[in-house]
Amino acid sequence: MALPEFKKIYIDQVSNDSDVAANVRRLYPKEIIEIVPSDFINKHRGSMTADEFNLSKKTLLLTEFKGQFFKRCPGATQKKTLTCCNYHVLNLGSQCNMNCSYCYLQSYLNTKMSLIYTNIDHALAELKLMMTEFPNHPFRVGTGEVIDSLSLDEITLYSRKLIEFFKPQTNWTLEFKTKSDKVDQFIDLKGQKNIVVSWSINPTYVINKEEHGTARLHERISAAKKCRDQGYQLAFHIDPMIYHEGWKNNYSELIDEITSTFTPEEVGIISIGTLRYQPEQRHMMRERFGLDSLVTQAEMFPSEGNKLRYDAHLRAEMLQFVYRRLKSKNEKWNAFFCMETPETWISSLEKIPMQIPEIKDMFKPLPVVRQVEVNEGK
Amino acid sequence: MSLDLAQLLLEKAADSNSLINGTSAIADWLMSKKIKSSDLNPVLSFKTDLHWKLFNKSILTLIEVKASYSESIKTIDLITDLILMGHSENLFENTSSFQNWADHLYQLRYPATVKRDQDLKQKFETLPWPYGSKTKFERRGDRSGVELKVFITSEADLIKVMSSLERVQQQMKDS
Repeated sequence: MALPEFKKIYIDQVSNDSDVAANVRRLYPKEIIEIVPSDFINKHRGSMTADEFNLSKKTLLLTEFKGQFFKRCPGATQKKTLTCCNYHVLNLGSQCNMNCSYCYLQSYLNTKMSLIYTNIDHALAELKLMMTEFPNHPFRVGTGEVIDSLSLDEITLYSRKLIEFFKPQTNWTLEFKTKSDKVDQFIDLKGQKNIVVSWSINPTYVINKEEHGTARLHERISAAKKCRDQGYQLAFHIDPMIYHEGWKNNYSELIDEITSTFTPEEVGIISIGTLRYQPEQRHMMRERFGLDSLVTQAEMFPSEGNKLRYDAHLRAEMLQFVYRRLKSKNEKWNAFFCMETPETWISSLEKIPMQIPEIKDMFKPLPVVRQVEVNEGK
Repeated sequence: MSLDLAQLLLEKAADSNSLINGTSAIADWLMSKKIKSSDLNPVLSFKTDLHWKLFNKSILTLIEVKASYSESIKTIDLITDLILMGHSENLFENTSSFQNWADHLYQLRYPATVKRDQDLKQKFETLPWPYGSKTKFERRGDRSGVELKVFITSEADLIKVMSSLERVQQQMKDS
């Protein structure tokens, strides 16, 4: 994959001396770079039209984040309806330079440009406080919630800082989650088991139709092999599964490819989820992708938690199919369902996560993350 | 939203030769139903004159079948999908009442689910539900199933019902 394409890059004056700003100046032509005052972002907030959303992928602002970096995964906020796996997120930017038709950012973002936060030291200080307080709790921290963990990493090189930061904290797990193949910028660093590099994967047919601008499946798998060979733990997210004619064959081939290339020991976990999105996202998707997409054509219904999902029977069939296929290859494959209701767990597997020995620890409650005050002077 | 979609709708209706008489009806409808510009957001997806022509004809059909505000809003969303999926004149079948038309559009938009629900309904109808109980098959959001009503007057009634339900469970397990 080539260097991410931006038509315009703004640098907030407070970020002007940051490492990321220096990288931007090294990588991009100066004609597209402009220094702006810190209130610049305020003029670019608000709900977006489809055109504005498209443009936000091509416009980048380097700035500092003023809020709390470290949070629980949104799944945790719907504990009454969803079975949550205790994932935590560290948001080091927002928006994505790739263009998946189903992307939930279409109904989530309200800033009309891509953001990279340059004050990663503040984020690491927040994490340090939490790690000091809870060194023995198995927190799993992902950086790929509102931005792809690695697709802009050539610009930030944050992976290198994060890997070194997490290495001594072996009870805590760091997860990079990506649809890119950008691993060369950190691959010289030795991996270890608590540093997970993970890929969202789908059959080639779905990638070609729905995951625009992402690395192709074989490119993602090549990148995963590089990480495996360097000692990193891998994970895969077969999520969102997208229903289409021939889905069983295509998902079977995907699983066969993964299970024949990697071992269960190399891949810590495989999460499985089916297509879901907020109702308000429909207009944006329809306007941006028309009805040629498997996602906009899908037969979706309101479900628990207010998201639109496939019919519950179909969903259970899809989840069960992939889960069983994986287990048929080797019982040791660890798989779980992402953001699903207890009813779906039961109808697919006749069990809830706490009844499955190999994954129950992931679902045990962890201490609630509180607002932490980071003293910059220390 | 800077673009007034209601105005755009009227302009498109006026542009369409087949709808010269319909434009004022659409204007009246927009006003009487208090349709907001945001209610018409789905039209932002339209790319061709045919899309607009079909959409305007759909609004005239909504007027004809006397759809309420909320029925209209739901139908606008559904019809937009169907127009973009390539449906055209078959959209305007079964328009004798709003409910008939809505059912027709639902079947066009959700054919696989309609088929799955029909199969499930048939399967459920053959189950040995308790004597005297009432069953109603329905879809509630992403789930479809049976609502079961039983009337119990004594412990003996309850035992009979539970015994019937055990047979239902067994048949469900076996199938």
